[in-house]
Amino acid sequence: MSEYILECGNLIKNYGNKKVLKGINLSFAKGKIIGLLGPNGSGKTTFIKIAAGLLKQTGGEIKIDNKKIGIETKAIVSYLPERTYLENSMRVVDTIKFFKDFYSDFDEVKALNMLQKLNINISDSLKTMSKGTKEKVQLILVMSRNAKIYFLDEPIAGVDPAARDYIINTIINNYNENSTIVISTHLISDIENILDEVVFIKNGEITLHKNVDEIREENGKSIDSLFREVFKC
Amino acid sequence: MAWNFSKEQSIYTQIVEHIKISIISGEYKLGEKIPSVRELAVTAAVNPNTMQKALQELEKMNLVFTQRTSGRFITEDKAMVDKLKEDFAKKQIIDFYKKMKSIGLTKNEIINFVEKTFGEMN
Amino acid sequence: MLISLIKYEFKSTYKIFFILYALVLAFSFINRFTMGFDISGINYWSSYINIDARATALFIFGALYAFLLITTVIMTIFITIQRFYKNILGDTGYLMNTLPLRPWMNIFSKLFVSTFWILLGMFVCGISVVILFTAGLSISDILKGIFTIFSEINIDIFIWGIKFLISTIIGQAANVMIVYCSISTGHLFNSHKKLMAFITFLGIMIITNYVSSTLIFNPSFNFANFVTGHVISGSEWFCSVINASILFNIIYIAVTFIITNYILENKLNLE
Repeated sequence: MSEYILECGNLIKNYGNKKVLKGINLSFAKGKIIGLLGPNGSGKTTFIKIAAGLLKQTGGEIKIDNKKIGIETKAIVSYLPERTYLENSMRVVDTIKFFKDFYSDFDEVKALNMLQKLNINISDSLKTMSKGTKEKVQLILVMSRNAKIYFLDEPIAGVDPAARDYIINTIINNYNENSTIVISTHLISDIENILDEVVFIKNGEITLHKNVDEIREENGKSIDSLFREVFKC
Repeated sequence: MAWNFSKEQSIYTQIVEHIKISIISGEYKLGEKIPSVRELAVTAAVNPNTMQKALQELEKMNLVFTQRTSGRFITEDKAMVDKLKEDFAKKQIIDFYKKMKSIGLTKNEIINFVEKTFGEMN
Repeated sequence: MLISLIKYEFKSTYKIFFILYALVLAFSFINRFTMGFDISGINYWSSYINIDARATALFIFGALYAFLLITTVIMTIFITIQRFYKNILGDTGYLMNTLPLRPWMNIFSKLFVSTFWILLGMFVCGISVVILFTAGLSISDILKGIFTIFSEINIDIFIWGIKFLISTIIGQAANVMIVYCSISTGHLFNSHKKLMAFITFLGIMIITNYVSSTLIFNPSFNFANFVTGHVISGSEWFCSVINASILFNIIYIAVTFIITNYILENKLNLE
């Protein structure tokens, strides 16, 4: 049994002539919180979509839990996209039932507890909620699954600081050594304290993949500072 | 509230320092049970793996020990903690002295200033 | 999984349809009333009710009724399109396409429910029209009429009726699948997705019309003649039209389903 939950080799994605991923090689170990950092357009979201099964790669290989991307991997991947992807007409309780029906690893009790702590009324309809509250609901649903790998795409962008703390809290609380959490973001300084490793991606290529404390010790800088240096325009 | 960390140095060494100071100051009492790795990670707003590494480091330093079924506890060795307190204070004093020396004060002048300032403080 | 998908599809769509159907049926009764009959068939408009008032009522409620019928048709088409377009290829697609199930289940669940609403809509409109046209009759008259019709049914008519029903179901399902296939094809393009979907739809409809008129409905070239090898009678022709329709619609459903499934499995590219 591999210690890696995700392995990809020479992963390539082209849109016509446009080369978005130019041969990605990555291995994510189990039980890590990994930051996928890069500017807009670097290929972060494309990579995550391929891993989540929303996009087919043009070339190369990617395996999650040693399986090719498909319904088996979808069952163990919990993906939080950057947008509202729940049906607006649903009430919160409907979304819980939905997740329960389709995901055998969904922990209803955990979800209800988290919603209650945030004073979110489960019989409220999503369309009556603010964007921030909807995002919290989505995060709670995604984190209430006992998935083997979580992909959180910009979980704290566009969210107020208190909510940001709550989200970071939820991520730490949810951590377990059998799962890996991949956080894609450009808001690095808010999140770097909770990361084990970072991956820098630039123009569709990985430029760095290292343990964060090692980076700090070697460079005497925060990840945020290093990022700004590396990705200077 | 997260603990205050400088992001320019490795977080885990800062956690070790933070907990060490909590022990020296008596905030964590001798023999007291400390929260789980997860709870501490949440309080400090850090990665649980990082917190675990720090706690392991503290165990190596004998400041913390694990009882298999009951969890982690602060050391009961008062002498060691007192020595650490002394070492910490000494280091602060030496650093302080270096700074004062750099503005041209002698040891006697420093002591006088310290006494005077303490008098004003109360 | 498939059952759950179908369940959710119904849950997301039933409210609007039930409201429309209820209104349509309500208005057919109202129109029966304004035409001067109540539910028992008794004409109660006595001469003291002003003829202008009667005419006005008839006109207003008649217009509203027609409007409701048209709205039902348009809503059904709109929801059929929108459920597929938004739910599978829009933002909610991020949810639906990451569920641990094969894309065909997503297609089939929507096909099933959309076809159901179309058929139910046709049925409700049919009932509502019957309510209107039996305005001069009482309930007992209607029941007698139904009984008479049923007693006339023999096995041939029954089989023909079943075939007609199957043909309608398959026909509407084919229409829905053609829409889905068009939307999916439009999705392949980077820009003007809706326009390309519409063009695909027109393209398919043109082909369909050509096939129907030359092969199925054309009395001179006749598919049935071709198949049976001899000139056939009128009723046989009618029967063969239905058989051919069913056959061609099944082929349509199969082809469009395969295309749509291929696109969702391999060419998905959500914004």
